[in-house]
Amino acid sequence: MDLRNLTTKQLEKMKKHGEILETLRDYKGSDRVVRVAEALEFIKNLPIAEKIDIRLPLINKDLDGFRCGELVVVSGPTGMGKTTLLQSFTYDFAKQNIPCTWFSYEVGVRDLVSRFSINEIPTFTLPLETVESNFKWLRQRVWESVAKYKTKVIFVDHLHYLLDMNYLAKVNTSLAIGMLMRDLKKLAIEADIVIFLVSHLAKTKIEAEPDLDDIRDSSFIGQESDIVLVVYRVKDSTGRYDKSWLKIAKNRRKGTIGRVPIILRDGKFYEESLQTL
Amino acid sequence: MKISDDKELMILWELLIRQLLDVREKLKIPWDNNMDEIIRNRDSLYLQVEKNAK
Repeated sequence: MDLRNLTTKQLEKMKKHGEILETLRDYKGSDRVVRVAEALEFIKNLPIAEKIDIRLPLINKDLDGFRCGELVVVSGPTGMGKTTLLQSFTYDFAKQNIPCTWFSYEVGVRDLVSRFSINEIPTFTLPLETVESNFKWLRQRVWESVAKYKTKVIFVDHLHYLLDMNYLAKVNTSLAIGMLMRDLKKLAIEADIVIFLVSHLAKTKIEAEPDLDDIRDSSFIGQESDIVLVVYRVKDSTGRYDKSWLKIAKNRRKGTIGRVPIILRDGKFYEESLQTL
Repeated sequence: MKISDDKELMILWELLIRQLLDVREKLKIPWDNNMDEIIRNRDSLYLQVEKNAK
């Protein structure tokens, strides 16, 4: 291309374009594009996210613990131990002096406390009242617990209490849940905490092993979370419920999925042995 | 401003010469040997850039 044939306007446009490129060549912002070698150097200098372990050794090994900033969904059919599993985790965290805060919408303060063994109530914090269908309220109380008690783990029981049903009637439910999941994930990162979120399964009576697709209302619940744990029981040939299983249905960081039979003793879950899927 | 390649340099040269021509025209300065010299230099610069590109 011969510049002599171009109009002055065209030349000025090219000059401006060149100036923009020049500015970008020297761009040093925190979101700049870098070579992979520089990215590796950057990762090396990043602070390592705090690791939080649970007492279930096989599950914990597959997950390599939980990390601050993660959103963990706990799902399963009604009455099969979702809340009990989180109570069991509360004992584990309390033992390690990891401050936890419970947001139990389904049951009030008295009922929540009485669900723990009366002889051994673990240390945790909780709001004296809960406000349903209000994520803004949850976010404020989470920050309050972080400020007051240096909370590292949040339990939310359960997802559907955060949703405004009147609002849901007007919008796409799946999308609204997706947005809420994204807000929760953002909160986990900003407050540097692990959020455990209880979510129901679409099926209430299960004949087969539940999976990610069975989580109620929105595929975003599975997609936007870092880890999905499913607690369930399957009927044996005589039609009676067999033992309980804890399954890792999603594991974004490590990739390993698996399941382990668990047994409940004194309000705490213990593993039997692991079956890798 | 950092000049990173010949093309950028040539764009600036071209604009500069055109500005010069504009100014001369506004001031009603007639075409003279100086302008011939400038245009010749510009053309040899284009030739040099073409050579460099090859």
